[in-house]
Amino acid sequence: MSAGPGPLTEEDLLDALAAGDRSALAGLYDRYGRQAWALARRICADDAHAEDAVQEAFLAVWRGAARFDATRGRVGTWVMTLVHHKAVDLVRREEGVRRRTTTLDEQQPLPAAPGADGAALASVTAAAVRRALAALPEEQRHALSLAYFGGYTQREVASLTDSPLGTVKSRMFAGLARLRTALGPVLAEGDLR
Amino acid sequence: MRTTTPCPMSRELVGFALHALEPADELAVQHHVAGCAECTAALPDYQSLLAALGRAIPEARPPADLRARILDRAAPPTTAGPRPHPPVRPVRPTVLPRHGVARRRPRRPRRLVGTVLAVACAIAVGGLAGAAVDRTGSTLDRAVAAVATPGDARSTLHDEAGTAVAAVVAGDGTTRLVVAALPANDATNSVYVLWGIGSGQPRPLGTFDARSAGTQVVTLAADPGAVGYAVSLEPGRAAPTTPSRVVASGQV
Repeated sequence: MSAGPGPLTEEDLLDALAAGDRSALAGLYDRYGRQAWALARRICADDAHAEDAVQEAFLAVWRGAARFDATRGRVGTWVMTLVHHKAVDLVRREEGVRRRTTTLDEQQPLPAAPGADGAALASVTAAAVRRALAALPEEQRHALSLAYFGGYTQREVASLTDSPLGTVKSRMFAGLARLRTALGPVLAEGDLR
Repeated sequence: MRTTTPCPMSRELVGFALHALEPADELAVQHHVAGCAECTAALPDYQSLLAALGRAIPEARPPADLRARILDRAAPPTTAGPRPHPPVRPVRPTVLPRHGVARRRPRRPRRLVGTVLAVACAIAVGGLAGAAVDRTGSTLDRAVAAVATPGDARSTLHDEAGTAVAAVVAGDGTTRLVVAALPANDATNSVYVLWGIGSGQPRPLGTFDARSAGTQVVTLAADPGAVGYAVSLEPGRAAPTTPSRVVASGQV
């Protein structure tokens, strides 16, 4: 692995996790905990639920490290996918804690400088992601944001946007395809974390 | 994307990666991906893209004690690989002790298959007999908290309407299914089946009957390789080889 702020490569980390080394879990949390927390809090809009989501996600990694197929994705992606899914499950379970419908591009400022951990690469990637999102057609961006950050199902997005379900599916598909085209080269470097 | 004819499920794969499908659709895509090389190859790309969206949120400092709490709950792994599945057979309800609500009560040795702990919902879980009925979600949460121990994996299963109707608590060689809102089945000619979803065909982990009221906790076989779970309602009293009508599902 050519990048990674910690001393351990992803393979080292996975091996240590699979072997039951809690210091590896601590290292994983130190590496991804801030991102995980930010995402969980965005989706849940509730700190207690966000804590549950982050906790469940990291423990799922801890338990599943031995079965993780590193050829099918990176650990960081796995962590963020788990955090996202756990957070979405929590907000769907709690109708009282209704999801926020904030969108990344509309309400959050770009990070002006690298984070406290000096992750300049992450900042560059984040800026590229925001630009790519901003460049999407409005209806694609809105549909993706409602689903990813709001935790709404496609059927719910269809209802919220008064659009046919098939149209919503197509918008999300087209939106991700555009993001992929725009971000592919960036992620090839920036996702190496 | 490839230039050859795309897989007809490729559009659904986006919804799957977003965790934005209805439960039955999610399960169908999960099955499909397990057998489709194109979708198997495409899914990590979508997940990577979506993770990048998540990372584009400005980082935030988590609560100071969250790290320690996660490490505290990280029990040593009990297995490093899939285990053979015990035979599936029906289970019979018993009653959970009234005081069986402590989160950290010692775990007794359990049979892999065969124990059902029927919980008188508000009484056993919350000690709130006669109190106002909770929403399904919080009832389910409390039931899960009552049976889960540190280090257990928890998965919420939603029905087609998106309601959280059950949860799987996996760990220590068993899978416990907390049933909060499944319709009671006719125990003379139908049965519910819990399925473990991973690579290959869904695996039946056990059968159970849902009661008309109250929360049940059913202990079934473990599926260490599961990336998701589903509950189906089946005609007859035995688990078929594949689920016929899925009524709830969720990812690990």
